[in-house]
Formats: sequence, C-alpha cells, structure tokens
Amino acid sequence: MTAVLSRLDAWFRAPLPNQRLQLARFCIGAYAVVYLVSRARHLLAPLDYPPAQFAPVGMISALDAPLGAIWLYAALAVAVLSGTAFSLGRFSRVADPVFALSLSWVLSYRHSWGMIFHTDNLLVLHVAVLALASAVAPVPKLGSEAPTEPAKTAEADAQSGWILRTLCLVTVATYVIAGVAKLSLAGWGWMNGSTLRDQIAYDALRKLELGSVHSPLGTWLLPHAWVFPPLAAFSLAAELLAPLALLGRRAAAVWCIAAWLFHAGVLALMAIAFPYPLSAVAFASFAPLEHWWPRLRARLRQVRAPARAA
Amino acid sequence: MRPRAKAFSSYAVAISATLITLSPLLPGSADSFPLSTYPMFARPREELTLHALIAIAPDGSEQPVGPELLAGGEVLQAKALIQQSVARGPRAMAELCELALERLAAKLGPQPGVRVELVRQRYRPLDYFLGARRPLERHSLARCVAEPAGAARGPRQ
Repeated sequence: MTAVLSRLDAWFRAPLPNQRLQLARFCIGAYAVVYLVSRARHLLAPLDYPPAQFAPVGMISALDAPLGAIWLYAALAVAVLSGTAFSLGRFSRVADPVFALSLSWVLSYRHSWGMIFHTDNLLVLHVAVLALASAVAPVPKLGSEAPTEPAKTAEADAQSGWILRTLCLVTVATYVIAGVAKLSLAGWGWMNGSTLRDQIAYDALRKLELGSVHSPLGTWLLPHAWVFPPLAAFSLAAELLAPLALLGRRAAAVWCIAAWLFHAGVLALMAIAFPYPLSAVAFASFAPLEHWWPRLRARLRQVRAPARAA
Repeated sequence: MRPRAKAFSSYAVAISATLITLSPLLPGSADSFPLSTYPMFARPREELTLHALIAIAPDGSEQPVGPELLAGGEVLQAKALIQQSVARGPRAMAELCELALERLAAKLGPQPGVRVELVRQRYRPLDYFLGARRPLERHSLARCVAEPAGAARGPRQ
C-alpha cells in the first residue's frame, strides 16, 4: 500500500516545465476570452427569453428571477477583462478568482433557460482549477524568463507539475462520467451501435422539424447499420479508457487524438460542435507545449521576415 | 509556504477538484452546470415526441418556425422554450404562438392568413430516415392566425 502511495505521490509531484503551465494558462484563458466575445450574441440572447422560462442551474440557482440587462452586460465585460489578465498572468490574485467566478456565472446564466448544453463544462472546470491553484502557488506571467537560480527553477517546475496533472485529472474525469452515463442508461448494449444510430436519427429529425441544420452525412449513413457498432465501440472506449492518458506522454497523445476524433465524429454525424475539445485547447495540459512554442515562434519569424523585406 | 504545507495544498486542490468533478456519479445526481452527468447520447431514443411551432400558409404549405425567431438561433434552446410552454399550459402555449407570429411578421413583413400552430408529433426517427416520413400521430395544441391588416388577431386553441 505504501509503495503504491509513494508511486502515486512521485507521479503527482514530478516536475513539469514551468513554461508549459504558462502556455497552457494562456491557451485556456485566451480561448475563453475569444469564446465569450465571439458568442456574445448567444450569451446575451436570454435577454429576449420570456422570464417565465427562467430555470436556474449551478451558481445561478441563487437567483429567483432573471437579471436585468445591465447586470448581464456587466458580468460579460468583467469576464472578458479578467480573462485577458488571467491569460497573461497579470494581477492574478484578483483576476484569477474574478475570472473563474464571472465565467461560470455568465455561462451558467446561458444554461438557465431549460436547456443545459454540455459544451462549456470542461472550460469552466479548467479555469476554476487554475484559479484555485493560483491561490496556493505563484502564477507565472506569460513570457517571463525562467529563474536563473536552479533551486527556484526546480520549485517552479514542481508547482507546474501538480497543477498540470490536476487539469489532466479533471479532463479525464469528465470523459469517464460520460462513458459511465452511457453504461448506466443503456448498458453494454450501447456498444452494438443501435443506440448511437437511433440517437443520430433522433437528433437529425428534431433539428429538421424545428427548422435547423442537421448533418447530411449522419442521415446518409443511417441505412448502413454496419457502420455504427465500430463507431459506438470507439466512442465508448475513448471515454472509459481516458484514464490511460495519465500513464505517460505517448498514451496521452494517443488518447488526445482519439478524444479529438470522437468530437470530430460528433460534429460530422450530428452537427453538434464541442468547440473546446475541437480547438484542442482542452488537451493543452497533456501536450509538451514548451517544445512546440519555440518551433512555432521560429516559423512565425520566418513568415514575417520576407514580409518585412518586401 | 513550507514544503509540507505546499504538498498539502497541492493535494487538497487536486483531490477536491477531481472528486467534485466526479460527484455527478453519485446516485440520484441531477444534470447541472458545470458539474454534469453528461446524459447526452446515452439514452436509448427509439421514439421522438416533439413539440414544434409550424407556420402554415393559406395554401396549406408548412414551414417550421426556425430557432432564430425564438432563441437566437440555438435549436435546442428553442426546443426547450417550446417544451416549457407546453408544460405551463394552454395560456403559455397561446402566448408563444403569438410571439412567434409577431416575430415572423417583424422578420418577413405582414403575413395575412398565415397561422402558427404549436403541434405535438410522435415519430420513430430511424423509420423516418428509412422512408416512413409521416408522424405516428400529430395533435395541434395551440394556434393563432395573422388576420388582414386592421382586424383583431388573437390566439385560438
């Protein structure tokens, strides 16, 4: 037992480059800010919904009536501003908790009208973990130089290690819950593909009757029953086997690609987009970003150089 | 912070974050936000009972009232709004019909003789895409009609 706990402790506290945490924070924060700005029309749409339809969830449950327009605009503005500071690692003592709360508030409000979407959950959880972690560990400013003293570098890397692994644990947990939900509601029979096939037909017909866009690929495949068992098995495996991603870099890469393909499949067959995982930012904590960043920067310089010369 | 306190804090954050994320696995947990039971795609869906708003022209041709008129383009939100109106009863359904008719007129201009109906339809979705397009049953729950300019207009059931 002690040996197992020691191994778990060694895994959890093994250092990871501090630059990886800086870049992951930036990616997650910047994604959230872009998402809030680009989806502002949808986030503010509840202002036109009938007040009687208000069905608060999450932290909005504290309200018994919808907010006035000014409060919703203010919450969105606070989320965008604090999110920008969060991404850059500035004013983190104030910006991080404010961003975590305001992001959760704005998105919860959006889900408080009788329809809970499942596209934003992981983003809110990741930001909450990073905000919570910043309360107990110093937050790296984006672009800050690595400490020159080896002891400080080691300490920063040790902090990054457990924070990034916590993000990975939370990511993996959400996929496992989705897999367990399938087993508890439909049993192992979910693997035979008929539930998935029915689900694609159900979703497409619902959209057709409600005057929206459905996936022509999904409905085209419906007569071909043999397609669905492998798709169902792959989907369930991507969810239930998610913890394998914690075993190492190669396993993480395989799982991240599988999870991304799962979401790409949902988009192709059901016209349902999960933008956070599809953008790959949801998997940032698994990726060796510190190796990719210098290459990306060099490539950007190469692209810019001829443009300047011209 | 001392090393032991740092280690304790890191474990406190990681364990609490993971357990809270996993808490919807507890029996009886409801779907919420941001903690979810992720029920989408999980339930068997052999039949679909759908409430929808349909605009019917005087010549009998039908068009669904699109989600852009009800819920900023979000189809599932539009479905939820229609569903909630049905759950709240005849008055709420009539109000939603009226709202849809108003927004239709605001978007396309006056639509004399066009009526909006809130219908309940039952389908077997897979059969629909395999050729059996007609609903198993269809009931009109509420309707309202755009009268010629100047005439009174009101919900009917």
